[in-house]
Amino acid sequence: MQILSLIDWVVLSATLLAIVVYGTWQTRGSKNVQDYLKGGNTSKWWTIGLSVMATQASAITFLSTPGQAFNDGMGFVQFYFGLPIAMVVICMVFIPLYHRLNVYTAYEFLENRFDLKTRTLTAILFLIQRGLAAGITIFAPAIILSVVLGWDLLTLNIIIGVLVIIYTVSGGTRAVNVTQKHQMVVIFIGMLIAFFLIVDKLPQDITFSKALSIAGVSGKMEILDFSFDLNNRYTFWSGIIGGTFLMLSYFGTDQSQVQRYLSGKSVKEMQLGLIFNGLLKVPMQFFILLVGVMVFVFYQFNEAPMNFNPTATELVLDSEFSEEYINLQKEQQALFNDKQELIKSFITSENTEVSKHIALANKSNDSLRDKARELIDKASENQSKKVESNDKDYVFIHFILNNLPRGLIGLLLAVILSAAMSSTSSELNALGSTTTIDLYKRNTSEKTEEHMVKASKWFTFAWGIIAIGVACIANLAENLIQLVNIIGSIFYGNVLGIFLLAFFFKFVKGHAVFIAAIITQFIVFALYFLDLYQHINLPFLWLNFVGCAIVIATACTLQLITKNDTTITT
Amino acid sequence: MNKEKQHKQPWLKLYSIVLIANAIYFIMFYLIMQAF
Repeated sequence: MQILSLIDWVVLSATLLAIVVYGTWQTRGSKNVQDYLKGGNTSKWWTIGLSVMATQASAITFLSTPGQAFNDGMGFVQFYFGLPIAMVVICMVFIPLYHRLNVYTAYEFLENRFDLKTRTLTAILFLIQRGLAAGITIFAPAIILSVVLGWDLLTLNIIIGVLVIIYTVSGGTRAVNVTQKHQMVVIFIGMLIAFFLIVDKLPQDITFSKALSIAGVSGKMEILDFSFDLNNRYTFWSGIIGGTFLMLSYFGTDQSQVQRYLSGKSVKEMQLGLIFNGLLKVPMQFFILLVGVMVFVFYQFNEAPMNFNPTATELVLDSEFSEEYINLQKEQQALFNDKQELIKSFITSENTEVSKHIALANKSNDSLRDKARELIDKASENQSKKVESNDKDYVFIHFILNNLPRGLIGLLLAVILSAAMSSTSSELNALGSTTTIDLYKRNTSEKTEEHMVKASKWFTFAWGIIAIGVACIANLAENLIQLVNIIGSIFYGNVLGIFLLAFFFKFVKGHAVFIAAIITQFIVFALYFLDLYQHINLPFLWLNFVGCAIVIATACTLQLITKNDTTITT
Repeated sequence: MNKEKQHKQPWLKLYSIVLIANAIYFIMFYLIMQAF
């Protein structure tokens, strides 16, 4: 295990502290709610664009995505193909409406369109889901960094959480936006330097084009998949169709994103900010995946560990399966030596026969890695110790720690922690705003501006503490990340359906929507448990779509049956 | 009805730009995939 050098500590601490201190100092002293929750509506389009991107890109984006490309190639980029379409729809439909109604939260609009109970229900669904997710945004990178760096998990959770709480509570939306701008600059610079260093670390006779050819013969450059195979998660069609709906719900109805563009100076600035995101997101994801592919090429010339998770390797070597594991390692080494000859021959001739042999060698390597994973799982089960055998999240951080020069390791760690902080700050900001505006302000008597700013700060602080608490107990759960995704899927479809009803089904009124939302939530819960106890086969990701479809169908039917809705709508 | 018309959002050039750029990305990805 490599310990960080002094220069790494200086770069890491200086980068993170500079962003936090500058953000806190620059945005201190908000006097009214508009200032605190909407950043005084002063944000320019580039601030909005960077802020929206920083909110979506969590630390896991920078830890997992290169590992995803290392294992499965560039196909994951298709997941983002619907994003630009969603941006256009939000610019045309959502932004003008939110702006015209001068709302602070997306859920406020629902009272205007439907009624108070629908607004409150949707806001609560958001708070449950996002409150848990904020904890996981802190926990997910902390667990990986604690494993590879030997840092204490609890301390790391608290440090990330407290740094975010300081500036988010102090400066509100403006602090989130200002810090995210700087965090994105650090992220872009760090990833660009990492990319050029990886390419530079390849053997002298390997040009960038040859590196791509080597990746190509092993199937890592299969970017587009036009098949209609439902078992294949990332295809062109799932990206365009499923991706559009997913991004529409995330950017259009999730307060952590809505709050970013509501801080815009004008409708034009908000629209430009989202268009900026629509233009840059796909190439940015392509670039992060390309970094992973280059790491793959790097390990064609340098020996890679059998499993990139050091705890998993330690566990299996300390078990009754150690001999089997060592044999697999020997087989991998022999395969690596054979591959060197093949690659040399491929570089000089680019012969198709040789390329087939390289592809076969890499397939054999993958199957050895699969067998190693099985051994790790068995060892983990026998010793009753929870360890992650899927090492996707550990590939890039392993490469960083073992191959990048001193100082740059600190910068890349700053990239990962900046990404964690930027998403968490948006989440806390949104949770605080929704609690203040949709629950507290709406259900209490008229309060002064000063009081509301104070209340917003306390709610944001409370959500920060809850997020740290969730991050600290996350390790106790069997698979909490999956649990949070499941909880998200259970509520998200219903929430999206309510918003789609608001925008596109003008004849449907509040009472029908509220009843439909309650019925839908029960049905979605029932479907989830039927799947859990294996009475039906419905993977949890489908609950998003099912929830959305059921709430729309039920609300329309109820409206048509009852017709005489007495709910006042404006 | 007039109110509805007032609220109708115009199609901005930017929307075309972002969608065309997206289509160009697909073409570029396809060409890269074919080349490697």
